[in-house]
Amino acid sequence: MRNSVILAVLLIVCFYATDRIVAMILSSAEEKIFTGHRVGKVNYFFNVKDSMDILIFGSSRAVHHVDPKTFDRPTFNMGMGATHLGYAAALIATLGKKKQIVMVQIDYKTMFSPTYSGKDAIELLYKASKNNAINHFFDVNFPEEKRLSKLSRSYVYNGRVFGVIKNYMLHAEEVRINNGYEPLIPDERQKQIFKGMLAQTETKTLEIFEPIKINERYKQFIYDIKEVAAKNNNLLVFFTSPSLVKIDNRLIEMTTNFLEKEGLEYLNHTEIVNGEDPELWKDHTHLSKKGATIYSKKLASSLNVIIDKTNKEVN
Amino acid sequence: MLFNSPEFLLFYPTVFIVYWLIPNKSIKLQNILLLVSSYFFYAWWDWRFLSLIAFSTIVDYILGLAIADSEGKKRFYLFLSICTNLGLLTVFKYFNFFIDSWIRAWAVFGYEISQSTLSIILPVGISFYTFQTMSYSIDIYRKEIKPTKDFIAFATFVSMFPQLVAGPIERASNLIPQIINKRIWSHKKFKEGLLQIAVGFFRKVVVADNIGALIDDVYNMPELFDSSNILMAVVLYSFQIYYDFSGYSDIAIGTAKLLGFEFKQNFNLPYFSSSITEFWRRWHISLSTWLRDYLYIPLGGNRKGTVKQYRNLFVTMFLGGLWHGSSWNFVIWGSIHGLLLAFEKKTNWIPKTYKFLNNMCVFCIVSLIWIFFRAINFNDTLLIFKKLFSSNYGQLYIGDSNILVTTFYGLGFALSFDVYLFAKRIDLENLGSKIGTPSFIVFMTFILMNILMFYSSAANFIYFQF
Repeated sequence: MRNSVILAVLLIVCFYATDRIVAMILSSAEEKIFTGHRVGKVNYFFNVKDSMDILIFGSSRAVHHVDPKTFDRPTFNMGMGATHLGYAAALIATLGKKKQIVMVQIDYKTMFSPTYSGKDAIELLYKASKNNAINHFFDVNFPEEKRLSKLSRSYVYNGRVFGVIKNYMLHAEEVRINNGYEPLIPDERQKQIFKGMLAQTETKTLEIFEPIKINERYKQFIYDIKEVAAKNNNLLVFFTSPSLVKIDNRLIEMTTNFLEKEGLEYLNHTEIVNGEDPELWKDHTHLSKKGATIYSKKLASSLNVIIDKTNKEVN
Repeated sequence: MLFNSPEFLLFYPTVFIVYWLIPNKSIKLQNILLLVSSYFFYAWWDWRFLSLIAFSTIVDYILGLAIADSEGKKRFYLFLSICTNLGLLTVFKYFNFFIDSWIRAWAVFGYEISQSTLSIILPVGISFYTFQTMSYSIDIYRKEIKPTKDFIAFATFVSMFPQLVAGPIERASNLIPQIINKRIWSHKKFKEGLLQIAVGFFRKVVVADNIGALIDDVYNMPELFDSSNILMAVVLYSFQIYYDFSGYSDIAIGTAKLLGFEFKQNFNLPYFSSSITEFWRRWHISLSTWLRDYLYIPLGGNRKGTVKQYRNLFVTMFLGGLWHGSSWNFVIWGSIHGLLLAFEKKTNWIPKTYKFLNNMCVFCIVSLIWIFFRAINFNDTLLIFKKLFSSNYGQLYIGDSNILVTTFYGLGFALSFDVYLFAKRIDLENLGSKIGTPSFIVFMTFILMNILMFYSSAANFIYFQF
């Protein structure tokens, strides 16, 4: 057994040293990246967040649907594909500028999911050692992952190693050109696919899990975001962007009531872009660039109404 | 509890340390610990189904002793054992399938029968432990083994956590003697076990899960993708299922080895086969040998003429397909393999040595047949075949480039590793002890670093559903 113990110790030491070296290299490369969607965009956000009047957060249905140039003041779209409210909450925790407008896209699917755990936020774990607010966010919400990241530093770069290398060497996809917005421009083949989908399927309906209730973790993130916004005296607006998926009225009602009870602004824009015109959509849940342009104008005008209303209340 | 869950990372080291710290390595205490921890491992998923394992264990323990003791009624007791195990399988795995098939069959003739299926949860691992306990009773009946009187040892054999939920299906003749006899710490086993666990995790979480993240959409909505994407998904799925299941087996064999047990090899580089017959000697070996010993040979094997041999092959693979799941897709998948095995026997198309072209042909055929295994239903299967053999080949859908690059990186590494094992004729099970300590440490560190940086937290183990 003695040999095995020695081998295990040597293995741990070698792994520990390698882990630290690799993490150090990745960390120093990552800090220099301001291109690419997953790593560069976050760095770019940290650079520009305090110079913006409006910040937009949410999933792919924020990043592909809201064009910041439509708004009449400096705006940055910090939406991120394949993430949900957890990711947004972690980023919002870092805000410090007073009187900003913070717009957060929310999805009924995640909000009413019985299994949503908020682990989309783990994507930002690599920032915990560099940002106090994110560090605190993980201490409170995901202490286990935090502990694991202390055991292995390179663990926090899971899934983004090649992205770091690529953007460090090639400086691909500029985030600043569209202020974080990533328009979807379907090619002819994708349009055909979508037409095929529309022809094949009946109206898509969001699956409902009984008993219908807002996911507790999701609710907690809303409270967290509300707290940050209150601290910074921000105007906080939740919105749901257009979708062709039919939403049960009970979900909309519960969401509206909950946010109203919390004194939060909410724009339900699920059905605001009418019609199944394949020119406006890439698929059932994502608008094309053309659809996003129409929607962004509607969102901007709805926001102006809220701003006017808020100004009147203040005066 | 899943092997790739944080709970297991706490559970296993705890069991491992306590197990080897037991005073005098008392077998009784070690076995009790194994039994309790195995039940805990299973209960983490759903404690209610522990009663099924306990029931199967008690029944087969009693019937095993009865078969050995009573010469006159041994056939009856064996029948009881098989009925109990197959009964459990039928109720929990096939009940709704049979009802549904019955209703559909009548519907073909224009009769409508009201649907009365039950909401039954498939208990994880039921196909594996029922086969394990059945083989125990059959082996006693055949006088190949003697029943154990040690109930704890038998219960440990049925429920031992490394192989409880997805195999390998261990034989009593291999495992029970190891449970009964003293386990001695071995540095050789330690190295072999550690390395196999690490490789298993790499195969599962880096290769298989990343492939899954890439191709799941294609299989879930084949109507949306063109032939190029379908082809990519079909080829990649062959690797996904191999690395998923062999990865699970590697972790199972490795964890058992660290506890002093030698499980049988379950995968032996199946995609290096030069015939379908060879493929089944290398793929899910514990199941294919089970089917051979307890189904194919009792049916007559190759002893009753060629026609009956073909029939036996077909029946064995047909039922082997059904074992995988309650869907006609699995049955068709198994049946095609049965037909191909019979065809190979008929044409004597089984090379004795490795042949690259044959190997490629076998890979292509096996990949095509996997479509039945993976497609969600029969209509999707047909659509996928239609698209594969159409001329609608265009640009590949790339999706998330990060996942794509990670997938091909992991797959490239895993395949190169397999080529190395094949070329050097080394079994993964023994690799750990064949390399020196410095190489071992470098290799292990490399694998661990890759797991941490490239793992995908996507999926369950595919074979859990069986």
